[in-house]
Amino acid sequence: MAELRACPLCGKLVDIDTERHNLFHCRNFLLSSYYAERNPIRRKRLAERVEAINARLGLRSMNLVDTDE
Amino acid sequence: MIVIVTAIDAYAQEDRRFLVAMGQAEIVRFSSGAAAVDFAAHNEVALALVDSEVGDMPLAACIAALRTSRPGEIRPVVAISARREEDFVLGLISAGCSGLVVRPFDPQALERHVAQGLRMSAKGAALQATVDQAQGLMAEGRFEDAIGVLSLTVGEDEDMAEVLFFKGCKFLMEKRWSDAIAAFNQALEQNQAFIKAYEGLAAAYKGKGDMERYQHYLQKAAEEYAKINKFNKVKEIFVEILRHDVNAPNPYNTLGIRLRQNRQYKEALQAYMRALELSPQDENIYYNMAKAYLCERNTEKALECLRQCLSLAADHAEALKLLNRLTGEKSSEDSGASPIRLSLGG
Repeated sequence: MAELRACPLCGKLVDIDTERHNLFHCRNFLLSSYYAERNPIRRKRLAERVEAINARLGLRSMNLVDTDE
Repeated sequence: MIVIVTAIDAYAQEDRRFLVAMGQAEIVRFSSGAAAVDFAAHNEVALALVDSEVGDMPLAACIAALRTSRPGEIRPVVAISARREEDFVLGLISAGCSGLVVRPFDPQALERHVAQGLRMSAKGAALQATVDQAQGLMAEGRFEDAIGVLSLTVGEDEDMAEVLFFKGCKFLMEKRWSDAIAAFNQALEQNQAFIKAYEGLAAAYKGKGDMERYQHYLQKAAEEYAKINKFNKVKEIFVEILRHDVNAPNPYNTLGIRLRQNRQYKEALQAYMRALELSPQDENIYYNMAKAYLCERNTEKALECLRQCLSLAADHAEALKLLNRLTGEKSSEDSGASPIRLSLGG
């Protein structure tokens, strides 16, 4: 049975045995939510979280990274 | 013949009146989408005018079914609807409508769309006449003449359909719906012309006994068929992205990722090229392009893109990892530690 855990950074449920999940995956997960978010307050909050991860990764872009194999 | 599809009698009368005023005499009306699709499958239909009040099926589904009701032919379908929300319009464009008129309509707008649809039909008929002429020549054993007639059709730029298609995507992004529809229609017309001409050329070369060229043109026709399917798929994905990712700064990048994951590498790269036009200094687009080039087994181009990416973001961990893998250097740790493993003390 898959062991699912919520990522403490982005909240995505991850199968920790089979799924690769690093900061790029967190960033993609938050960015996808940001893209679809229509509420301006929530959108701003999501943008700030993406920017925080960008700062850790040395990125500036607000575009998704192709993380799949 | 023009087909009107609407469940509302008053609309049918109104549409018929306008068509008659435009000089159209052969008009058939259906109140059910399924009946109209069945009729169109067995009759010559130059244009279908479909109302959002179809009743038995959603408008987008009716459009998609009508336009492909006859194998090998794409019928122009003009949609008439009182709705104009972005999401709804995108759905109609994705289904392949060749024109959209908002009810209550300006007669000139309807006239313009109907005329455009009929022009598309006439072009298809003219193309068919060329193919028929070539077949007549082949029946007389005049294969060289048939090749000459058909070669004129494929003498145009082979990549024109792609250029027009992506122009359509650009118009979609800019919410220029009519321009997007027109560009997609033109791309489709181009595809159709090439398919018919290539099939004709294959038959002519077969008649001449040149089996190598026969195979070559058959392959070209198959590629054009595949292109139509691929374009339809790309359009569907792009519309889905535009509908869902309302805040995405660069929908072409998202499209590129989706296409790369669908193994449509050539189309993915085309999408990334467009993405770079919008965001020329974006490190992630270069990284994503490198992955697409790698899938295409073009290592040289992949390396070039990775270096571009790293010139914009020197610490891009995923790019560094891929570069190391390609250049045979020792790979670093996974890109950024896993937040979950860290939280578990791993």
